[in-house]
Amino acid sequence: MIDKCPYCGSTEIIYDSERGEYICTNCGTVLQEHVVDLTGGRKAYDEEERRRRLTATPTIGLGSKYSLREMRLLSYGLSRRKMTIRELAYKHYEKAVREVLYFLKSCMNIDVDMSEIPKTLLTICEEAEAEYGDRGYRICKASILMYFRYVKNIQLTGTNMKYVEKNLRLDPQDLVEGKKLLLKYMGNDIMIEPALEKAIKYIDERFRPLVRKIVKRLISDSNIVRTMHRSIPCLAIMLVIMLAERLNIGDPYAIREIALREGICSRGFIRNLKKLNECVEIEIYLTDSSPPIRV
Amino acid sequence: MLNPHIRIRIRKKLKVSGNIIEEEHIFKLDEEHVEELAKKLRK
Repeated sequence: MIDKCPYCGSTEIIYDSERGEYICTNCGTVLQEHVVDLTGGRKAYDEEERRRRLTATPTIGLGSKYSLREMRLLSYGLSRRKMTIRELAYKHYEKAVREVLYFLKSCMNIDVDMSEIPKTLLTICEEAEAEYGDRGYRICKASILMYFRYVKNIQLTGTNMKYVEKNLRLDPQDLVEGKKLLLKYMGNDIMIEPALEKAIKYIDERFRPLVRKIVKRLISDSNIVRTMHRSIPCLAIMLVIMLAERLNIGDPYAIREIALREGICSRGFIRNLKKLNECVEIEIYLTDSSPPIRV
Repeated sequence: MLNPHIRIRIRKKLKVSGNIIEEEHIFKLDEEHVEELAKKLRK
């Protein structure tokens, strides 16, 4: 440590820790170079680093003011208080719903009311939170968007997809996960109905309610039918085709065509349709006395 | 059951055990269905 400048006699000597030099502020002479910094602890070699050292507290881990969970709450803009998962999910749910609704209104010109949203989405948000962690919020948004896609028939391709990526900050992978989650909880309501609607158009008008009833009951009650195909809309269409063929009440080829064209049914569809046909035996009792007609 | 109805029997042989599982579902038919179906099935 130097107290006095040997050239001008000034005592105003500063230590520049960035460069490791003692400098006389009066005449500007560098009095000592390459000084080893022995201060220890948290070293900072430039201005930005020093500022960071002074202000930062560790965010996560030992010495942190907040727990991991609280950090997450803070990042969602909630106050620092204890919340149950359900409360947290509820907040997510509301925020995600609001964000998606705003997106639909501003980008797609679709006005949806808050009351149209089913409470099952809350379960989905809880599941997203539990399963995907920090990504949960995005998955949650994706599920809500997918819900409206099915209910309101929104096309999520081309420009619309770009809007989604830009405004909702969701990537295609999020949408895939969101869809999975949505189908797990609401597959029946939102998937069977639209698929059935498309297929049933090609059934004789008088038999439409009957076919709808049969298909819905078989899908919900029959364990065997449920194992025939992974996709429930596909299964619904298979059943409609089978009934159209066997009872001679519709155009099975038209239904098959539309199912394949719209991507409701996949490659394994025809094979599964054959398997279904082999498994099912239909007997029709038209009058009290006559023997049943087998089709 | 003697009223007009459709009986759907589903039978499946399990791959692993070879057991056959069976289910039966019955759907009632309305009057108009009966006539129409008779016509259609006769064709």
